[in-house]
Amino acid sequence: MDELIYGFFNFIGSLFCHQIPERTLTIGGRLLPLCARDTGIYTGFAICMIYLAIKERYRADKMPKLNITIIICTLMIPMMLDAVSSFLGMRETNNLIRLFTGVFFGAALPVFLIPLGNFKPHGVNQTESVKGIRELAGLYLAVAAAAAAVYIGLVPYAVVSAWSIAAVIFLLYGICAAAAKSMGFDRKHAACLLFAVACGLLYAVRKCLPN
Amino acid sequence: MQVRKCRYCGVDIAADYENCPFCGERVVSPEPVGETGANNNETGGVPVGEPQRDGPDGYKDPEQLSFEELTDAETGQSERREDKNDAGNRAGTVKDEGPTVCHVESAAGTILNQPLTNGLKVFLTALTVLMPGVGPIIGIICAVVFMNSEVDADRRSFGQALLITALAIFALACISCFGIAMVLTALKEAPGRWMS
Repeated sequence: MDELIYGFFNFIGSLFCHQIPERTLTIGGRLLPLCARDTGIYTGFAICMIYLAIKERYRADKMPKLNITIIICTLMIPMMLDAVSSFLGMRETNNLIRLFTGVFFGAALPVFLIPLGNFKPHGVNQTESVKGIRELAGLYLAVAAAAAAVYIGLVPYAVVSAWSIAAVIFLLYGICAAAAKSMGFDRKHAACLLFAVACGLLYAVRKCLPN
Repeated sequence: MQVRKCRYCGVDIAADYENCPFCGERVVSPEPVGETGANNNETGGVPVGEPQRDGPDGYKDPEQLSFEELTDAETGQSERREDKNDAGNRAGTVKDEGPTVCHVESAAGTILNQPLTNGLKVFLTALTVLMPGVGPIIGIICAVVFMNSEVDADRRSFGQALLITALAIFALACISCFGIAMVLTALKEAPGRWMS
């Protein structure tokens, strides 16, 4: 049973991530299904979603204030700098940096995506996704604590893999739903269809590339 | 009753007048906007947001009158009309403690109330799409500002579109990086198999 779950996580992860072993964290002797940076991004995404759900902001329809937006956007920049500078060979990076910069990047996405999904351009939008600096600090503390727990190995392999893969699927489905909505199709059915097509395309690309 | 001279036209007027009833000029020096409430409370005047516009004899400063009030004055009507769409301009007038402040606030309100031009929209979209890394960040910040705008729906809908564009560019960049990393890794590890 364990091998089945491990294989499932690895298969889904292989559709979205390069899974290079040197860049992947290990928990309990097993490589995670996503690389350190992707694990960080989707961990941040998942923790932020949980945080906003606890705060009952899953129906938020208003963007955060400008100062909060600037802070969030500033925290997204380190991941981009880390990725670009290491890719160009300007400096060396490691899994700890990849994980933490990825977490701060991923945590920003639901703060914008949830209000974007509920936003009414011609109506009244009242509920902000993040209401103040204190809430934002709480969110990033929770996210950083989760990243530290993942890095140390306090969180079991199955839990980390489950929330990472769930975040990946949720994000892909969300993109498909937004695309279906913008094309004017029936949201649910068209989103499912697009999701299936996207998964098929990813699988085809994966099969074309050598392991 | 205490009397003083108007410094503009030289006519004797009552000391408690804020504006000269003859030339219309303001005869008291402007005070900072933040102190308005305190002064009003001390003098038992009207609260902030509804300053005393009328002189003791019912005189109104023409500079402080809105278009509707001027029209009403001309037609002899004294009823005040409430226009919610003109709230920004009215706020600029109401907070006024001097002509300069009034004009600056009115100008700012006019600029902020203007609809976005097509040129600005194209510029922001191009900046978001074409400038890697920083462009989407700027796009997100601008989009949030526009989406939080309470002035018009055009700004909000453009902000929504700009945010979708910025996030899509982020997603495309990530997918591209993933693809490049996969291909480079494949080339490095098994060049023969990849070429065949």
